[in-house]
Amino acid sequence: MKTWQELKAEIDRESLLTTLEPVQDVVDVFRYSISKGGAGVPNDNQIFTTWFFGGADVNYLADWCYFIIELAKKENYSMEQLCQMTRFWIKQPSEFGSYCGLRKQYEFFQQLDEIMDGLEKSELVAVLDSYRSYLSNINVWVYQYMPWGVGRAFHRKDKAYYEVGRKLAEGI
Amino acid sequence: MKKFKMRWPALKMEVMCDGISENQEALDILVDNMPVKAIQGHEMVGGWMLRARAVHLQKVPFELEAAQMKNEKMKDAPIGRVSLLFPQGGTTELLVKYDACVDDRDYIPVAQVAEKDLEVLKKVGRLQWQSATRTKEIYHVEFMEVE
Repeated sequence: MKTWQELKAEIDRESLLTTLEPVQDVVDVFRYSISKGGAGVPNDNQIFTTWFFGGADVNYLADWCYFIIELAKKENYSMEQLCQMTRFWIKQPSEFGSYCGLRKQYEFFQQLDEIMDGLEKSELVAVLDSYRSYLSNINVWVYQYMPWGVGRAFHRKDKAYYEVGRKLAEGI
Repeated sequence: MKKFKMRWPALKMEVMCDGISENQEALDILVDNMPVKAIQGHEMVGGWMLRARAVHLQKVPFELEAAQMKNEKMKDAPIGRVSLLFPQGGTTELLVKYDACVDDRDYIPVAQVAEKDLEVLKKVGRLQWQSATRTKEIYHVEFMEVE
């Protein structure tokens, strides 16, 4: 089991490595369409749902960290409550992200989970701050590699569009 | 008031950003962390904004409380506005509005791109949108204090 300082240092190293160079998990899943955890394989062996659900879940993890840190700083929450919130908010989407192939972020959470109950508030905040930095890098690279151009195939429709459709259907 | 440059080396373009009267303490923290490099991204739903999703603050952590800072709705911000989103500890997002936005959420304005550089900013914005939706070119952005 790592100390919180060792875990924070490991996350910081990974964060530094992935600020200007891609997170390998993201390259595998979003650039090369490799679903390492098997997500999407039973569903016509496609990757789109893995991108859609996995990317979004991990995207929000950084925000959950932000709010837990704010609550730790400003409110009179006990460490027991903060640990409970961290487990409730982070574990499920982090684990699902891992299933979708974004593995390292879940490895970091699992290591935090092991030591969290023995930490001081400032120590939990320090680790969550580093974790949030790494998650932000994941988001950068997910946004970079997501093929947003496919959106051009699904143009937004508005009231006028349906009005034309209604008139056509009515033979006006 | 503090100033900084945003520079995109691969595009050989840069713009000057001047501090504004709002949120000077937040700008001080941002500038105190420069030089900073990040990956340049683009906003995908709210309008024409450059968006750097991970700007790391490794020298001075961001410890101002959200309630201490003034907010501005992006749709009401002038073209060229530089704003922060969720600044905290070692990380912030940084956005630059370069054309129309419908986003009515609150952001933390800290600077304004110089009038003379707005056309350059728009060019960068359009190239970044091309990257996000078609070419997938990776553009670095550098933030540097200007004395």
